[in-house]
Amino acid sequence: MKEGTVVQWFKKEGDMVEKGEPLVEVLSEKATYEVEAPASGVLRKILAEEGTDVPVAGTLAIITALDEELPEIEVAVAPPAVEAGKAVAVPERKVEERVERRIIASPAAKRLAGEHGIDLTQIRGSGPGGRIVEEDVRRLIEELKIMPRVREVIPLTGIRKTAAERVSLSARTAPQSTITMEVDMSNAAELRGRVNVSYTDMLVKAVAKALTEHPIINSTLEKEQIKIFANVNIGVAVATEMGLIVPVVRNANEKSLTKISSTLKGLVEKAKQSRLTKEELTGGTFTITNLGMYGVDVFTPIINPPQTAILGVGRVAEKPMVVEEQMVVRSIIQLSLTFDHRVVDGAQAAEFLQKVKQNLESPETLLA
Amino acid sequence: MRRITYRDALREALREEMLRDKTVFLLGEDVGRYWNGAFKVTKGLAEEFGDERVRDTPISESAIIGVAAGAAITGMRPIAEIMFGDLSALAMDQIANQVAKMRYMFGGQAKVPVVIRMPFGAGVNIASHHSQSLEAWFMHVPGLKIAMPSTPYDAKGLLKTAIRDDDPVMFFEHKLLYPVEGEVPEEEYTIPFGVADIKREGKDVTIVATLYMVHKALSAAEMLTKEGIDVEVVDPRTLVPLDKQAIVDSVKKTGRIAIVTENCKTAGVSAEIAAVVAEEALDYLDAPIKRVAEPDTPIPFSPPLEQFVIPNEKSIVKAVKEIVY
Repeated sequence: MKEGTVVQWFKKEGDMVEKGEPLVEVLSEKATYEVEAPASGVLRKILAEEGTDVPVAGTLAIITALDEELPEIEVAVAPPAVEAGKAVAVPERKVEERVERRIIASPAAKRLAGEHGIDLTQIRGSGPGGRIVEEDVRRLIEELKIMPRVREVIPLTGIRKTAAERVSLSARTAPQSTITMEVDMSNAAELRGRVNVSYTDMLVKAVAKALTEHPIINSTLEKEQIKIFANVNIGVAVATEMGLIVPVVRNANEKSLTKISSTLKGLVEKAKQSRLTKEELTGGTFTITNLGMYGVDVFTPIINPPQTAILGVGRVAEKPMVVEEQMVVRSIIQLSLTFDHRVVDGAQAAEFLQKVKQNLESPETLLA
Repeated sequence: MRRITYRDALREALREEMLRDKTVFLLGEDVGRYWNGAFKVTKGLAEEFGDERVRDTPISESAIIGVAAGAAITGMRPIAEIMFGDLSALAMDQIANQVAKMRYMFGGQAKVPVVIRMPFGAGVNIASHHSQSLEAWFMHVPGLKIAMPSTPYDAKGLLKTAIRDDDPVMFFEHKLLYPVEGEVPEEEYTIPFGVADIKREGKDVTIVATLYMVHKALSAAEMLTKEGIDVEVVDPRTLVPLDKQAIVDSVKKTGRIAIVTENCKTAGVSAEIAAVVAEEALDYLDAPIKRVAEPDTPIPFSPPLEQFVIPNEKSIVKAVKEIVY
């Protein structure tokens, strides 16, 4: 976690606060936390308005004693009124960042950029020392003329930002290949009705069992070493209003199907309320992602780094199938396994997927 | 159009104004019939107008300017010549404290229609006391107008305007310009003060140059054309009043400016022009302002060293290339 977003202040400027009482809600990359007042006194100044990103260890607000003067320096350098969603660092940090990110542009370039609402940070300057000159801005304006107009700008923050960084990392580092396999879920459907577990619960169990038999899939590539994990921690991707988050069923291979079911239910519930703890969000060794509820059959999920593989689950559909030379209607699901081709070859990935298929088609084994 | 020298153009202006207005007279060291002026600008004028109106003076610059000032406030239009611009230092009190301030100190009851001519410039191997360009000194004295013609056409037109002006005008010539020929019409004309002349139109970079440096800038511009750089050369012609608008307009067009002056860089004319551009055209600058000027040194007597300190085509080309990228 590098920065958090201020979601909600529980107090207004001028309110009395007690040490330890919830002061502000902050959204981290994956969850929301309540920050408690570190001291008792008056909430004199809120420096980070709701919607503002603040770096870790940044200043959120100033609490003073009732009769204490507000330190002048803090007021002087406090950020101006903040537009929602605009990144504002704490004052001390802000100065440093401005120095680091100083844009060198000729006055003419700045004027032209100002006239056309061009953000100079988008431009790589062609002048000496990277100075942005008028021609650079003019070129961008020309390019923008043929580009579609932007209606709205959504800052990349919080979960979306984390997701963007992680999928980019994954796509950049791991050569990924996806294989798909059809699974007959008819027996699983029967079991589901009988034991009161979901397909997802069964998938977690089936995958956990398969991973214990094919541990190479339950691994990570670190520099020159493939590290096989001792734990089988299955992450289950959950779409929430805030974005995609992946709570982890720890040691799923050691948990019974019903235990997995109850664990997962709890996690999903907390996920939807953004109440998952850090422990519940980290340490996954394999991920399952399901788009079946949207009617998707096959897709190519992107590995959740630093893991080696991810299983994409399609919809359960009634389909005709030939069983013992008879045309019968069965519940069919498509599984899509994306794997890191640096760690395993297609054959090993296929063997693992086959094992998952077998586990699901003989669901009694999942109860063992 | 006929072509005459800068020297002859100046002489024509003097002669025509002396014919036109009987209050116009010349004074200075050796301007009369025996020497015709150190650079022969006044040749033949003593013969035509008599020794009363073309007066040789003792070797006292202070006296020359003092006499001129006195004559001016009593209704004459004196044109004083100082043999070398460097020697103006000897007349500085008369120029800066008397000529420049009289009209103001007398509450407008006196006019001081004096023209003070003098040659500036290095390049003829006559050492530190005869080679300076001191226009910046006078630019710093409110009350003085300053003309610096770079061509025969400008020399004649500006000198006639200077003579007709009711306020004191410092009229700076350049030793190397006297033999330079250029087109000058036969018919009467004057050039208003405060109107710059675009000596060459271009779109990539503005060079503001004065006096002899205009010619260096123009030949540098030719060299730069071969490299695809289109130079505009702006000659302010008068430093006071300064045609700021022409300079600003040119910078708005090109986004780049080099200022070429034959005086030392520190607190020089180029500094003033650079400040004007920074104040009034900053948002149009696409590169830093460049100044091509002399180093802060006396003009050396040694010819190679002298050539080293004077801005030339090469130093102008180099400066321009540093801001055109």
